[in-house]
Amino acid sequence: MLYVNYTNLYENCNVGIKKKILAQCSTFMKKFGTVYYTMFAGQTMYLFYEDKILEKEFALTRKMCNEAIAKWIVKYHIKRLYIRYALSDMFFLDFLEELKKMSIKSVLEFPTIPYDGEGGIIRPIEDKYYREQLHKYINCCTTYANFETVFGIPCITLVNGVDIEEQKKKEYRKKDGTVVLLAVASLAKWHGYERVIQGMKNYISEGGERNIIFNIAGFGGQLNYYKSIVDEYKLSEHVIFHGQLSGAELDAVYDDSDIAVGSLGFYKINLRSGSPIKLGEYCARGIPFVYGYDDISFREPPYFSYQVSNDATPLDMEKVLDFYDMMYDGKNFIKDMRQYALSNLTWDAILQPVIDYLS
Amino acid sequence: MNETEKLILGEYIRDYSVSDISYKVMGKMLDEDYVERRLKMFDINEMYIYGGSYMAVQLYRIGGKFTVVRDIVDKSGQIVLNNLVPVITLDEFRKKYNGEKVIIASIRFFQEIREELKLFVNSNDIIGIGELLLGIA
Repeated sequence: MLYVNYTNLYENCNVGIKKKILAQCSTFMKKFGTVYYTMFAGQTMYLFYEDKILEKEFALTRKMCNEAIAKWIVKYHIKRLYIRYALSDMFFLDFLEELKKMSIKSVLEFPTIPYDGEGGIIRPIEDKYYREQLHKYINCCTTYANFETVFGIPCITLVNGVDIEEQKKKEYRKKDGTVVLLAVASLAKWHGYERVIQGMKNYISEGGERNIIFNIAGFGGQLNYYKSIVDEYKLSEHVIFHGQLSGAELDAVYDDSDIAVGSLGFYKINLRSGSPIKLGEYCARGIPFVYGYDDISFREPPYFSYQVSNDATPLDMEKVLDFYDMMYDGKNFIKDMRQYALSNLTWDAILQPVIDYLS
Repeated sequence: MNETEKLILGEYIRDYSVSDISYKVMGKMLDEDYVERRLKMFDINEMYIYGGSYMAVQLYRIGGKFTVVRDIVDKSGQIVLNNLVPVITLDEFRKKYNGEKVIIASIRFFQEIREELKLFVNSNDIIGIGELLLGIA
């Protein structure tokens, strides 16, 4: 089997994508044996197996990328493809048509649907025109939102999987009168953490007496914006920017926080639902969370989650504190959260319908 | 769209890609620290630069600060800034070559140059400038 990916998995901004692709490959390997994957960087298409480069081909254009992949499909006797979608053009359709002629069973994954509001789409008209023809060559797609079909292709809804082993179980933080919020993210506009900062400002200005701290672990495009409003609202003693953390440092921040914050700005990219990996990671760690969209990993919002509106409203901190009080009343929610993640959020469980289709 | 029209469109896309990548590569070479890191990543202690383009000249100037640049090679000995950098012909290069890395500083003619070099240079020692500055080691 071959997992077709056109992004550079070695770029810092693609760390999450790489993790996800390797985890998906690992699940496919359990069923189909050898699973290769591709990536593109520096005008070169690479073929990998277990993190080692097997082949590389100069590829100046998308067409040349697909020609390299087609060559490897023949050379390595590939029978199944899982393709991570990277926009449509005429040459991508030609590639899919060729796969169909070769009787290769293929599944197309749309990492985000709809994606029209996202940045980085250089030729949207070209994609909009050609994506409507994908259904002629592809009979099954996947995405992380509730759709029966996408561009006329029958769709399997996925949620983002979590590696339970990698997510260290959180320790309960000793109660000390302070409520500590935590966001671990790449700080993009759809995270919408200004809603938390504005909510804290409102809470304090309205005479709120409890001490609230907001830990932000991550680095990204919105960092300077968040810093500027923290300065403007004079909240620098309440909002702590930790930068990007990993390993023991990240574990320590989780242990030292009470409530995690998921995405609160999906409305900015015209999304109502999705399955970003972060809530799954919060769940596996065992930290209750607040989020602001319909998360398909948690169709019936469990008791350890608190869903707020998907708009620009500042968070109502009184309600967040009520949620904190409800969670930290002595119940052992960490155990429940770990169990929920094990039963619902592993890739083996999530990809089973895809494996059934490809079998 | 018929096959000929597809081929024509393909040529335009290729031209566009050459310009796009050349721009990015030239931009990357404005960052000396970045170039130093990339040369280390590819374990390049000494190298030849193949190509008579502005990219070759820029790599010669920046790369020369962090590694030994043996020569710039240009098939006919012509180069865009001939009076500013030393240049040898392909025949001279063939005689001098002794197992160093060779960076092809041309996006447009990468494949043709690589085929020519493969006659006497190990494939693993031939690196495109795009791969050097944007790819993985």
